[in-house]
Amino acid sequence: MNKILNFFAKHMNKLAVLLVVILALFPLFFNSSYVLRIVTICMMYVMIALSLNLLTGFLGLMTMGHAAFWGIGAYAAAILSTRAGFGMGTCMFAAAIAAGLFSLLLGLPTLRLKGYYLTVVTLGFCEIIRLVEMNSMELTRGPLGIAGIPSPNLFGFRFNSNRSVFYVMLVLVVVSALIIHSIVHSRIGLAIMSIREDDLAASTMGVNVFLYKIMVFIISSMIVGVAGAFYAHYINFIDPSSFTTAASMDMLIMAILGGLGSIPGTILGASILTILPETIRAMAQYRNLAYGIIIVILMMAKPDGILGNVNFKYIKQRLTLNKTEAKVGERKDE
Amino acid sequence: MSSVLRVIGVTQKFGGLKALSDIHMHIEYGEIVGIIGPNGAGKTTLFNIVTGIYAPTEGQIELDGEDITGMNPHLIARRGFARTFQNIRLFAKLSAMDNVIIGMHGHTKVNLIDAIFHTPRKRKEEMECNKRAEEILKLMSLWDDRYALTASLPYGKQRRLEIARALAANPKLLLLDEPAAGMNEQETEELLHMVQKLRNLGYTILLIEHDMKFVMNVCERIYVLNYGELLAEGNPTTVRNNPKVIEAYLGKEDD
Repeated sequence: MNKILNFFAKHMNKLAVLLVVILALFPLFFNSSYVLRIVTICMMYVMIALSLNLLTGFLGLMTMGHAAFWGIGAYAAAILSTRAGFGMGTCMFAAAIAAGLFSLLLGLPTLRLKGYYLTVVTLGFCEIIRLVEMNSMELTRGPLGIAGIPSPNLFGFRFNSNRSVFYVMLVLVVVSALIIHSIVHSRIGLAIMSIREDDLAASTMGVNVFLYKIMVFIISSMIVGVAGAFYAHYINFIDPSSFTTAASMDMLIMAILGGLGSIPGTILGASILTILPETIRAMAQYRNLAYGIIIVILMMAKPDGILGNVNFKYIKQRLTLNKTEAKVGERKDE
Repeated sequence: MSSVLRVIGVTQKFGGLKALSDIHMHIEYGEIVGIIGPNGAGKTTLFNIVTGIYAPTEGQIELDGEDITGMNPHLIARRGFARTFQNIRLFAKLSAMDNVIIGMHGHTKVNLIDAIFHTPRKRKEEMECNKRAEEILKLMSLWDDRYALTASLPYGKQRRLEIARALAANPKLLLLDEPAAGMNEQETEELLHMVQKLRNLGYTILLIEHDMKFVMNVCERIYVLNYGELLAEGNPTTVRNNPKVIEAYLGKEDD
């Protein structure tokens, strides 16, 4: 087990590039629209789970309202594209701004709360947003949903084929993964993790706890908002039933299964939980049962997720340390 | 030159409980000052007020002549107070090195845009941080453990790492809350040398400690607190011979 982790730690960058290359070549070899669809949706959930992991895994804020921001992004894109005829690029930008604004409004009064209080507030927020989507007939057409959202398009070019949409999503997921990776591996990331570990100690080290909480909350919401805009354009039809607390729970389970505070873990967790239900589709009625069993086994075997508490950066640093020490030792022997 | 810390008439009440009453205190640059007193005397409360975790009910705190009463902890930290905690509060899942680098947070400037685009400014600052962290870790003899998870370090090293993290902030005043608590004799001895080394490097230190030998050896001036009141002040010898202090620690003689 340790050897596998060491191998991954040593070659993480290469493996990440390899994964992107494989994904980029994927549509050339698999042309089945079903397979492409699954992988596209899978990448979207990876993007969502990554944004959630920044908030829950790295900053340590447990939220159950992530689907609300996904929905806000989706509705922003749907309304703007069907009524104002904006293209996908503009809609995604607007979706990010809308989700960011709502998270700012929710965050300002509530991010001073800790632990369960914040979880309960976000749970309530998700429900409120769903009710607004459900009842504000003029804006969202309520339970009828918004249909006829144009397929992804950029600069007048329409991505009609499953292949081209696949590439749109690939770019989105790679960009968001890079953004989150860069944030986590900077002084800002260290500050964020110090808040998760001990916010009082962090504040006495000069970390502006509230500012970072707001910042991460907004970034995370913006990313999931963009994912929502993509979802709207991809599915062409949205209604409030997609953006429920249950959807928030699914996102949370993806992040927890893969490992809170681990980017590779999140990719793994989200992939498992979107692809597995498809492979056992024949037993679709047992899907929730399978979910339950997976979670129970995981909680017993590895309560903090598959790659929880595995920090590849530290493993790599320790490996290089051992190597230099071994070299120094050899020199001494001579 | 003004005092690095001035505590002026500070009173702290928690509901009906008076944790501190009318405390006056001052620390000059280059001094090592100790605060002693029985459990519950209000020593840690005073630290919490000075570092901004509580706002005092009455009174004023001055840092280098500036009024910092009721300011947020992170702003006070950036102005030059760095502390350790009685029950170690390190960032357990981060490495020793990263703990120290977080200590520099108040002095580093890389923003979100720099971080996302890996600007030269970010890379330069990162190198400077690593270099400074190396110096501090070597000073505290923790360099070999730089990549170890903090939670996996033995107790004595965790104590030292907490001091290292505070030093990383390049503080005007270093506040140590019971640095020798839970240490064995040898570790205490090492810590004593460490603190003396820091003094020679020019740090100003305010420390709370129960180990009398430690306090008497290392401090130039001592404040004695008892039930939230300032009982005595002076150099180790005067304090040791002060009848009020002896009474507080050993009880009144009956005859």
